[in-house]
Amino acid sequence: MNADAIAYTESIGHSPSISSRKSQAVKSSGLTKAEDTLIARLRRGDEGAFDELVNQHHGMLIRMAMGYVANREVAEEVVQDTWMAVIESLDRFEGRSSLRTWVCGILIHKAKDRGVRERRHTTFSAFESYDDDNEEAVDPSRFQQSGEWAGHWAFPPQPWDDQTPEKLLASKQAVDYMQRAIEALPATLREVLILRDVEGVEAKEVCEMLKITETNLYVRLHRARERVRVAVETALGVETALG
Amino acid sequence: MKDHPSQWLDSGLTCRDVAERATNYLEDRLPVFTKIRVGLHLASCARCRSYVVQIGRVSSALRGFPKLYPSPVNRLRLRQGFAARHANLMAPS
Repeated sequence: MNADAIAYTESIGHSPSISSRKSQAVKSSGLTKAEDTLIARLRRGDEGAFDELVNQHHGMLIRMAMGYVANREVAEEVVQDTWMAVIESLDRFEGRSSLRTWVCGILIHKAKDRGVRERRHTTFSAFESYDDDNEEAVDPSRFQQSGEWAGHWAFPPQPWDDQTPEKLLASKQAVDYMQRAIEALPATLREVLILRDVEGVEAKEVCEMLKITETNLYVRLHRARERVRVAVETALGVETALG
Repeated sequence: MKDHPSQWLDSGLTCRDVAERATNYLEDRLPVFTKIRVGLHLASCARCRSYVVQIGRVSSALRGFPKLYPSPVNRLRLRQGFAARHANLMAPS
């Protein structure tokens, strides 16, 4: 059983009695004050608090799930199952990690399980190959291979001096290409990009969620950003050609 | 400003070295001496400056991606599930 499965089993595997549930206090060590308050409201049955929780993390869960399963429809089902598991096991959440890390752990377990059941072995083959941290992020053929300028740009990036993040987001072509590039990423690269860049999760928490080192996180993050950058470069080239 | 490393003080790094370190540079994770060398290279290389800027802009643009929410039907099911679970917990055993 892998670590994710163990964590998952620990979190939802046993159903204590109602009296023991009511006596469990959230350990605040791993939680912010806002999370402590949110959990207290959830345990009182506050539906507004549950909506808040879903609104905060649903996008992250969908985007993460897409790295493991075939399409958006299946990802929606996996995330729905995840939320139902969260509802079932909320009273057993002990606060040893953040609520987000806990929910994400459940999602990853369910999405991997669903991915295996769908026989999408390519995802897991990709997982193995991207554990090789010696692979370079930038295509080596973009650099001079020999001569005085070996290692310097042969095919440099075209300047985007006028492309602010806001302008990129306003370009349907650029956004489409970015989304397709993210969808094409192997799960290991996709999950770090989504957590760190799309969701803005702190590096330390990403490492905790994915059980990877910080060095590993930044190696993967750079590879993922480079692939999305190449997609934008292509989109802008297409726009220019069409323009 | 000069635009090729050959025309400036040599940082000892190639463009390939700098490109591989772009995210670590942007996230301020490089050892001080390496950071100085990368800075020196960037000061003299417009191509690498473009590259590092682009990696930063991709990261910032991703932060602005739209939020996703459950469909109304799925949200309703979740609310019902949440309410039912709470009612179940509160019911006398």
